[in-house]
Amino acid sequence: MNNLKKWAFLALTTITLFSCNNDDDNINTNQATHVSAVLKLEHSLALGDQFTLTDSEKNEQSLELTVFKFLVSDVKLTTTNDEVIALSNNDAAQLVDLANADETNTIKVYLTDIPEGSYKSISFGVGVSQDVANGSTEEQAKLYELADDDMHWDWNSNLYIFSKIEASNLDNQNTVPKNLNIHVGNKGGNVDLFRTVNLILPETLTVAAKVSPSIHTIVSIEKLFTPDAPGVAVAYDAINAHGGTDDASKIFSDNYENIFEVHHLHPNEAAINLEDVEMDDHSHDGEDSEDSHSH
Amino acid sequence: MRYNTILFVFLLVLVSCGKDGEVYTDFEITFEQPANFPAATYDFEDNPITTDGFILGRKLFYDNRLSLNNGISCAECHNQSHAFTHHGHNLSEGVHAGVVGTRNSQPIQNLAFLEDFTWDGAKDELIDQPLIPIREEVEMDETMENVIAKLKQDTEYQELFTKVFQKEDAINQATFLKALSQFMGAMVSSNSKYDKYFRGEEGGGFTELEKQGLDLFKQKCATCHSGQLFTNQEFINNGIGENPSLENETGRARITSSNPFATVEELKKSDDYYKFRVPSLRNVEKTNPYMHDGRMLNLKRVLDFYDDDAYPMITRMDNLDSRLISTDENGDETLGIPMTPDEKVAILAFLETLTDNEFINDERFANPN
Repeated sequence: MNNLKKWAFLALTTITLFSCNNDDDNINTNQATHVSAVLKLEHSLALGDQFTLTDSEKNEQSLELTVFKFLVSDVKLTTTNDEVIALSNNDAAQLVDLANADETNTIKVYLTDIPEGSYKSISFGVGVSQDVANGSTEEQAKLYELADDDMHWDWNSNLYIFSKIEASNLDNQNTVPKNLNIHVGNKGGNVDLFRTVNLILPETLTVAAKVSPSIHTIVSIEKLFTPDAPGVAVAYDAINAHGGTDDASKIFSDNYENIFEVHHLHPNEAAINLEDVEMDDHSHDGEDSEDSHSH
Repeated sequence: MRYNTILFVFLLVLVSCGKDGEVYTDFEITFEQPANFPAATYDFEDNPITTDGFILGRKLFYDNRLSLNNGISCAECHNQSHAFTHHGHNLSEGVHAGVVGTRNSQPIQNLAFLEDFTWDGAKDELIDQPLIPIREEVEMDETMENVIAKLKQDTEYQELFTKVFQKEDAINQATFLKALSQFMGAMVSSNSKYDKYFRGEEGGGFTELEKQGLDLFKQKCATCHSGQLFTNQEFINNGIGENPSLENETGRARITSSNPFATVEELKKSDDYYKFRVPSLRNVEKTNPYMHDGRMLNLKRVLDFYDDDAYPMITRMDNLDSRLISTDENGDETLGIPMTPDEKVAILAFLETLTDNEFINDERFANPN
């Protein structure tokens, strides 16, 4: 009964807090327009590009990339004073899908509501952590929508698919071509495959109202399988989604920490606002826009 | 005292913030913790149960717009008169004519006390459970995006969501799931004749046969159908055997496999192959047919199965639950739970005392339209 009383008390408190705050909600939405910073993810491959991977029998397989996407959550920035700023997943969570990349294979993740200041690093999760998946429902409102349809397992308690990479095998000689087909998530509950990527910035990132600086980051897709040290190489057909092992899946997930590298910052790009860029990105019609491409 | 009742005094708070004091409802929903039940698993901190949230959840539960072509609502397969199951249907048709699902509809009752949901434990939080029937092709076959878009077109829903969640533009997947969860979480069935007997309340007089049945039940059934929920909430292989018309059924194996593309042949090697949840037996007399695929028409059949003396017999898979196997000194196995015909009569009489007519007739849970 003690637990229940505690729940009842918490419930009552929560309701009381929620019950009379009509006015507060509008403030946030009005302020959330200025883009504080842009994470630009330039991928090493485009959909349709060919690449070569070694399978578990040491055979080289020639593949054509068909799907590459992952969920970004838990974006955090660290100030030069070591203060960690965590952005709400309802603002900063994103589905990075190579199918939506521009002609330079780049996807932009727009970050809002970062307090003005100087930052030295940024981190984000690939997928959705157990804490978030089992935590507040309303804090997952955007994640539910991002995962809807394509990044969602109905028959799993952590419903999020963290990442997908698929490629078709171009080897017509092989009677059973090994297509690449890897979907990662906390399926089965034996291992936690959520990974956090930490990116140290090469110079200080200044967040201010008059600019929307961008962090130009290279995403080396092949490094998922052949990472730089201390990463460990893994054959694509050795992991769980190919009937392989949990250990190989862990190594593969670890390699997500290896594929991102900040190349440079654009510290002084003109301020943009979120509504404009979202409209621009959704149109995909090649119209010129002062706000977007700045190279 | 009939209950240790926890009253959430939120109504007062809500009323005090109401715009023009209109009468919204003539009843109040409180989450009632029955004295004889285990602690709730429902996440009250994340999603407190309010009367307005319950009413919104109920409207959604009975709304056909949750399905493709607005064909069926949740209540299609979960109707109250049969403890929110699909009476007489072993499997249920979804929105597509002639296409049935693969599992028997389970009762919507006492979900606030469960650790896992669905026959194989696909979800471990009530809040995520409705995503399965809504999205499943053989059930409602709708996308969440479409459901939310349909609800947003309805000004009544806009107002109700804003009222419950205290913000503008409140309709999204998270608030939708929260409302449904509040309705389902509040559906507590705890006033069967057995409960009244157990709590020493009026209306709880047991006949000699029912008392005998309870004693036999404790000896023969309560190892798995344990406690006041009448389930240990485990997933076991109870010997039900493969259903030849459902070739892709693997039970819990598909949940615990870490390979999302595992084939049926691969899953057959899993220790969780053909394991299913031990179901609660509350209102069991109202929820026929039985087993995960509804293959047994009545409770007598179920007892005959466990007694292993009539078709269908217990199937001896490698992972058959050890509590259904006894081995003699020669190493010979006997399967099942021995019961005489008279014992079955008594157990069946006891099982009928688990019917909660107050729950089945509770107007608060009924279709409001």
